[in-house]
Amino acid sequence: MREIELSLNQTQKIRLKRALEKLESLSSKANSNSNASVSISDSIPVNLEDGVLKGHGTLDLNGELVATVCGVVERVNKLVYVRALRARYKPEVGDIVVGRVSEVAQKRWRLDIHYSQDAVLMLSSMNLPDGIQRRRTALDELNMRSIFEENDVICAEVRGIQHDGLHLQARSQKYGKLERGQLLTVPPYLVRRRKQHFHHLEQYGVDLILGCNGFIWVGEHVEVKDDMVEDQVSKPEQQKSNKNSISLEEQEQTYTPIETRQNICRIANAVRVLSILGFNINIEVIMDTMNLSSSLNLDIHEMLGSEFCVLVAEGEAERRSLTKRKG
Amino acid sequence: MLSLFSLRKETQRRLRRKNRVALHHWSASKITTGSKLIINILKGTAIVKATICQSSLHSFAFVGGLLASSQNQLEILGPSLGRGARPYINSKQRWRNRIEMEFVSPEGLRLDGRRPMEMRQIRAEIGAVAKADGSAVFEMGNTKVIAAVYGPREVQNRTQQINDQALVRCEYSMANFSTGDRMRKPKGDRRSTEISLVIRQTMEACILTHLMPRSQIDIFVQVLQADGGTRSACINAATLALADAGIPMRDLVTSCSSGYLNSTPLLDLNYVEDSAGGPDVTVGFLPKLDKVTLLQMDSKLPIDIFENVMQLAIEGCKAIANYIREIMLENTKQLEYRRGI
Repeated sequence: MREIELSLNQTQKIRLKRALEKLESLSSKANSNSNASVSISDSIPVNLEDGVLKGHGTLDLNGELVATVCGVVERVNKLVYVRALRARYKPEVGDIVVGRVSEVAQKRWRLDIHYSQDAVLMLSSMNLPDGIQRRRTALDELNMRSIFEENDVICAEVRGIQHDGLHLQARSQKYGKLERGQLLTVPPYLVRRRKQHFHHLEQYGVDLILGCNGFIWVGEHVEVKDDMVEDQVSKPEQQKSNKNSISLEEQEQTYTPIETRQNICRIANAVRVLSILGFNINIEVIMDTMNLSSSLNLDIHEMLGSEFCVLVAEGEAERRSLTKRKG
Repeated sequence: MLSLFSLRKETQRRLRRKNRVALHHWSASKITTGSKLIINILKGTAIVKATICQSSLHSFAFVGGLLASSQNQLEILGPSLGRGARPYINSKQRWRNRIEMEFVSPEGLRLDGRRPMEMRQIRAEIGAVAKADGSAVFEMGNTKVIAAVYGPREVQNRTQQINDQALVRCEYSMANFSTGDRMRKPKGDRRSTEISLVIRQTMEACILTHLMPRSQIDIFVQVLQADGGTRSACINAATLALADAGIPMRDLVTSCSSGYLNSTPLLDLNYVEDSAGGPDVTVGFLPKLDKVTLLQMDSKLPIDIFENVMQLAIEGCKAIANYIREIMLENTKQLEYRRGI
């Protein structure tokens, strides 16, 4: 069993245990029969005459369906597969991911996105900073480092798997380089696919990106300017935008205000606590955790202490039991 | 004659590893080769007999089992010994030349108090290394091994990349503090290279490498405490770590060793039994497929006895597989219910 690595005192231990037991009882009620946990080489009960489709994580062994990973059996119509927990990220087309540039190569960047290979972001599959749609020239290729350098953190979308690996694209202003913030890595199974992965928390002035690959970005909010609109603007307005760019440069020199930085840290610590406890990470839970910490008047560093972790676990148990009753 | 004394922690630790004891305040004089010693562990279950195999003015060596005991007190019965006795026991060669030793007592107990077909206590824990994709600690008695798995990840050396399957690499090392006397050898000696290879081949046989083309899986195993059977413990730890990393496998691989001493097949040899120089069979086993993936033996055995000994090791493997499966299932359930719906 994976232990939670915290230094707890006796009371906290008991409280944490109780909270986790509550979670266990809640989830066991929810899926008592449909999906069961299996470990490697456990056989999965299926009726082979029904023409079962064998999905990921399964293997046919002498007419018996056997799991090849530890995880949860999922059945979708005829498809039977095992959803592995704690595995590396498995990309799906359209996923929003956050990654770190590991290499600048010919016409492409290679990104570490916690997949079994590095992902590829082609120069041609991203919008240039000037916002003009055109053929990429040799000059663009030489200037690739002016866009992304090694170790830059980038947000992009999964385009698909080609013969030479996983391809990404960044064809919108919301994608691109991420600055002034923190990158957190959590196990990918904790982040569920949702409609919305970009979150702008207005009250804190913070951008939160929950990458499907378990990379979470917490950073200062940046205004997204849509280049499509920019294309249509006339010349005088372009001058204005030039002025804007100057003011942007000034902004570069000015620092992120201390409150924003504190908020970034607070949100980051909320994510860390949830990841330590192994709870699902989504915007509501993060905000709940954050509000809990500020309502208790805890300092940012105190959020990683054992007491707060226990409180979050208890809160989560309470929350899930409430949603249960509603349902 | 009877003398009672308490051992310091350090002494006790050494005692556990090898039969090396620094005994203090021995009262009288005579000790010769062949004298029998009986050491009782107070409040413990086992009584262990030892025979003096070499003695000099200030030290003596003896053979005979000693056990890990939570108690600090030992009771020594038998001939009293010279002052500052400092026994030592060395390589397998010396052992063999010195004496015919008794590894199984007439009562049917081994040196550490086990029955011949009894395994040491096993314990496993998943998730010991935070940064790794998968990790585990595996203990068999006093042998303790930690394993970490990284990957599948981008191949570091492009020339090694395989286009239709994953590259599996393994590195075995022993911590300097893992043995009785501190090891000062640099890593990468012949022994660890060989064991690395053995573990790599065993794990590669069960990983479904074709599902992860153009990637690399690194397995790192380190021995934290060595008390015999490190090879088996490493394979078991690696299996758990691979499962934790979510790497698809045909079946679990488990491993266990067995030996043949005093005309008795013995399961799961500890260091003392291992260094007796008798046959030592290590088996790697796939319990579901009922197949053997690793078989190693030192020394010689008649074929009919060998079959028995190997069967015993396989039984041990099955027992370990059951335990490992339990641990993994428990871990999976934990992760699932914590995450919630």
